[in-house]
Amino acid sequence: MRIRLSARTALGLFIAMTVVVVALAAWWIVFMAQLTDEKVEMAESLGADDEYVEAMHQQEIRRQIMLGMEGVFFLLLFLFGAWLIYRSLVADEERKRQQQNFLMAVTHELKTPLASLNIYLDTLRSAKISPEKKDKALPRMKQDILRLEKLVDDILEAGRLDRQEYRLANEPVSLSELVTECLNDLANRPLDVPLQVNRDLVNGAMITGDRRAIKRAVTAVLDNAAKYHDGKRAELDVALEVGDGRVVLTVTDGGIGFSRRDAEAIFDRFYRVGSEMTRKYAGSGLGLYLCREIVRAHGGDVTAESRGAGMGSTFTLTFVARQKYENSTTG
Amino acid sequence: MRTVLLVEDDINLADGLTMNLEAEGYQVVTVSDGGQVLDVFRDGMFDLILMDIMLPGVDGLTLCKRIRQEGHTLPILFITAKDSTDEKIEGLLAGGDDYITKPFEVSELLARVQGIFRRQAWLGSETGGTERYEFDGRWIDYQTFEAEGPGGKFALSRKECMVARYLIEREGQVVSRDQLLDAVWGYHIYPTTRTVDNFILKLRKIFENDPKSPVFFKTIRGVGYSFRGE
Repeated sequence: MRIRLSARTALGLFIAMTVVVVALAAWWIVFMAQLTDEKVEMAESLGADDEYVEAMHQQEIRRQIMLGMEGVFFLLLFLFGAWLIYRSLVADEERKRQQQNFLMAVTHELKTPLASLNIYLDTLRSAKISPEKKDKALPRMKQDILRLEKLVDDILEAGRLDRQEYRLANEPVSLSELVTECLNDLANRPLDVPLQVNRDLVNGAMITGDRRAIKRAVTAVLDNAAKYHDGKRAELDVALEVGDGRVVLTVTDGGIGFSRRDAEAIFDRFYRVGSEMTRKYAGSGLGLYLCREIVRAHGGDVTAESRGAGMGSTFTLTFVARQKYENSTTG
Repeated sequence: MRTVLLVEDDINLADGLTMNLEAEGYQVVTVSDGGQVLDVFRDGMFDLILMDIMLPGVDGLTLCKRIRQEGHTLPILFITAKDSTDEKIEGLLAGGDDYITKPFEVSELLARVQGIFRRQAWLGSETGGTERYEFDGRWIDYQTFEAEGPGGKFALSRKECMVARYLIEREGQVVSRDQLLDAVWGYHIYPTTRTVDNFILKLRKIFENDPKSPVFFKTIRGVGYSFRGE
């Protein structure tokens, strides 16, 4: 039989068990104290001399302290164990919620462009629709196909990471050229608001790695910054600098930002801010996860900061510069 | 010309649907944000709402419930990627009239829309000189979608009203669940007859003294339901 507990039930059980154990411990201490008093009273009533009674009293107190300490130790051990179980249940629930969110997001992301493609196919076949209107269908269909292609690509890539089948090439990559290429791609993608990019890119920033994978990581961060705009326009500051053996790409946007809690989870697989039922932005919750895994696989790291919801965000990708990388790998 | 309020956040899908609906002679007003739907709805005169369930701002189910709570009975057709049985029932119980899952053909959507208008015409058709049916001190009004039973006066949804009218018009006859599904929800087969059962439960709560021992809306075991007004 499989027992399912929600986080709330688990918390309730945890609190109830803690109360019971603390109450039992308190009762035990009171009981021991009473027992000691009774023993002392009995010795006195039997006419034992004061010295003997006092010695017995002290011995009983020492025994009580010893038993009390043991009790406290086991109580703490129990509470620690119960807390670990509770934490694991909460994490399990959160994982389930994320997977559910992911399933909803993927279902929506797969079926919506498919529905759109179906409708535009019908539109092209319809005799009731004018040729001018039909002309709009093909570019829309191309957009839908690209959207599906990206989603399928992300899912396959995440699957490869899960199965540890991710093989990275080890080639010189000009991050300066790659970031410029990604920015040009971004400029050519349709956005629902005007896009403005302020570039400050150093020339000749070289790293070692898999060009295709790094492009995916950089694209994920740029797409993310452009997508979560403030509703009026998407303004991005993109800076690339080299120093101290590292190449650092910083992408700052003036978009919706995120809370401190989201900052910790934003790179988790399937994580999406908010509920899928009231989704505002397309996506599957895999982009930033893939970004982090790729950057880490290259010996680098990625961080995200925001001053809070509505305050924009900054994503920083740090790579090992090619010179230093070669030095460190050659010894 | 009939006016459709299309609530869909995907621009491509919304534009494609608009093109096809306009070609069929409907006037289309599009809203992409769930948070704006109620304002647009209150400002306009619409004959039908086509609505996605997953929407930015406020989701489609919540919007549907709010529209019904305000007493509006216009038909609502959900267009959504969610396709499990429970999700479909949830949509119908929220007050939706029909449900189409993505991806779909334009012809199927148009058939559903026409079906909704056809059933709407049936509900609004002549009822033998009366729009109000009275039985044993209770009554139901097919025009205002109101009813009164032992517990007081209630507002009915369009579907609840249609289920009640279908059974009342066949007083004394046994009506199968499939017959009710066909007549009230349309030509397409719903995945489960639980949908009908939920609506009958609601009618019993309104009209029966003891919904657990129904006198008017009786279950005919293994077949369906039968209405007896006396």
